[in-house]
Amino acid sequence: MSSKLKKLNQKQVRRVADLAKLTLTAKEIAKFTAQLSTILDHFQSLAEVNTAEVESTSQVTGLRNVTRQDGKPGRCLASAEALADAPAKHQGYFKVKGIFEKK
Amino acid sequence: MKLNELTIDQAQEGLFRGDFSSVELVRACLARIKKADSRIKAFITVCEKKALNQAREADQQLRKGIKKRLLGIPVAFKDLFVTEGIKTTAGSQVLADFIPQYDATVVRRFKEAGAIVVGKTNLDAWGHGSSGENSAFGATRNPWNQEYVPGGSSSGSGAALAAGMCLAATGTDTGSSIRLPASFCNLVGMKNTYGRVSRFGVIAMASSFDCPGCLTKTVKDQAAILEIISGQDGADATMPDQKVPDYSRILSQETGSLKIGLPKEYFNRGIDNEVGDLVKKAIRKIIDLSGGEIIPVSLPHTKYAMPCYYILVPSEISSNLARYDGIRYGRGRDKFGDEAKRRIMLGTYALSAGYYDAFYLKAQKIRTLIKRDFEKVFSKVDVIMAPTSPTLPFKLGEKTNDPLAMYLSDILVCPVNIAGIPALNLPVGFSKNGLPVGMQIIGSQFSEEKLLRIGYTYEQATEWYKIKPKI
Repeated sequence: MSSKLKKLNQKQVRRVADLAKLTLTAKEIAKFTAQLSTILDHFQSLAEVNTAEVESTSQVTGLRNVTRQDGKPGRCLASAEALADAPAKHQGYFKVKGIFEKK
Repeated sequence: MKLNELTIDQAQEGLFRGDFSSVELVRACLARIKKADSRIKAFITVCEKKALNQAREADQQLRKGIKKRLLGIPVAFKDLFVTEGIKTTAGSQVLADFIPQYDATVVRRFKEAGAIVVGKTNLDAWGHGSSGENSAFGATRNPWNQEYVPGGSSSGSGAALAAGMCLAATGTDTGSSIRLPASFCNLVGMKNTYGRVSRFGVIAMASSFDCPGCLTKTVKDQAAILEIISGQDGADATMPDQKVPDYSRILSQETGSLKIGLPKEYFNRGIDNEVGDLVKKAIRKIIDLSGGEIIPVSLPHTKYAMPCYYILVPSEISSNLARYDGIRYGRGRDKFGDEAKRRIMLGTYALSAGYYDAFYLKAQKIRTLIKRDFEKVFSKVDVIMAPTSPTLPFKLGEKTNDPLAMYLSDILVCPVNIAGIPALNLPVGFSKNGLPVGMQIIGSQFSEEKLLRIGYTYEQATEWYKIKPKI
């Protein structure tokens, strides 16, 4: 880990919030910048560990390529059930904001 | 003794013998909720009507002599387990009015065994926290002393069970969330091997870590429930094809002489004196009962466990919480609380272009090293024993302004989740000011039966579960 990672600045936090689709106030940006910097500082110690010959672990019991057996599919939600919790719907569809509309 | 204070084992005997009915048992739990839950805040949703209806049905079945393993037993589900037709909030405003269309596998298995759902318990929103204070619906209080936290994130499950509001309560353990509340509330709680219990229908926190399970009053109850909820369901692809042992039957088998590993890294780390003394006393007791010896061991990568955990887990969180778009169900992303926002941003940062290798991949490699540390130790010892929390329960508000201090509460528990191995929290006594202390027994993958047997031997000789909080 290079030293440039050591301190997060507000610009980076704004960019990360944007990537994560979170809208933050200026006050939140300032608070999270300080808190996330402290937490990231704590992570710096990982750089000490030599992992050159170490494989990564993403599945802890060692399973690989698990697929469902062919056969009957399980229960599926009916359209009305799938839509039951939607805040906005239109003729049996989820209603979303227009993607190409100008803000 | 009051009905709501019975263990599952005792309640079952009474129900089958006809000493009391399921309706009476459920009423006793509901009465306790009414009396104390405005202060304790263990529940987000109480299902009074539904529970009484289910209890009436259970009584009919009992009269017919039908025997199911949890017939008529009132239980509660952490509000991360989706329940068909019952509001499931994850402790967050995002899901404040979400009503699921299906049951989680764990919920379905409880119901099939005849259990009664009394309600859904409070938690740190999305499971993010060690104290219960990150709930959008108010912080849960510890029934042993209401100025203190009950431990999180399964805070409501711990408090509800300790306060006698149900006879068992589910939890999920991603980094501490079953063991810590069990430890802070004088309860038994097991973080099972990753893949022992299905994650289907449990709102995802960090998918390669999440382990659903249960908090119980006794080891005997823990074994009975593990038997019911374990094993493949065809809906969680990360479950190995592992036979489910008859946990309750093998419980009373002798453990044999034990080789108990004490990791020097766990006992070096500023353990509170009272906690350390009670844990060492419990270990001596276990050796008196079963025979065996203490073997000093080392888990050299322990100090990297916290940073490793807090890179991998927020990364998976940022991905899992990306699905909350407020379109198909739930409200908008502006409803996330501070802790969820912090973790989403940490994870997004760790996974973003340019940082992936330095953070995420590096942490995954360190995950391998931590897992190997445990494998090496388990080639020499049967189990590891250590405190669950390095400190006694802390007070509400003590750590809320310092996220890092809160994260460090999990320092002795989260390495277990990184390695995917099981660990059982056992009550081992009380501090001078009357707060519960817990110890964890850690084993290799799928060694739950060994942990339960050791726990059962100790429990029969100590019976800490018989001591109840005054509320």
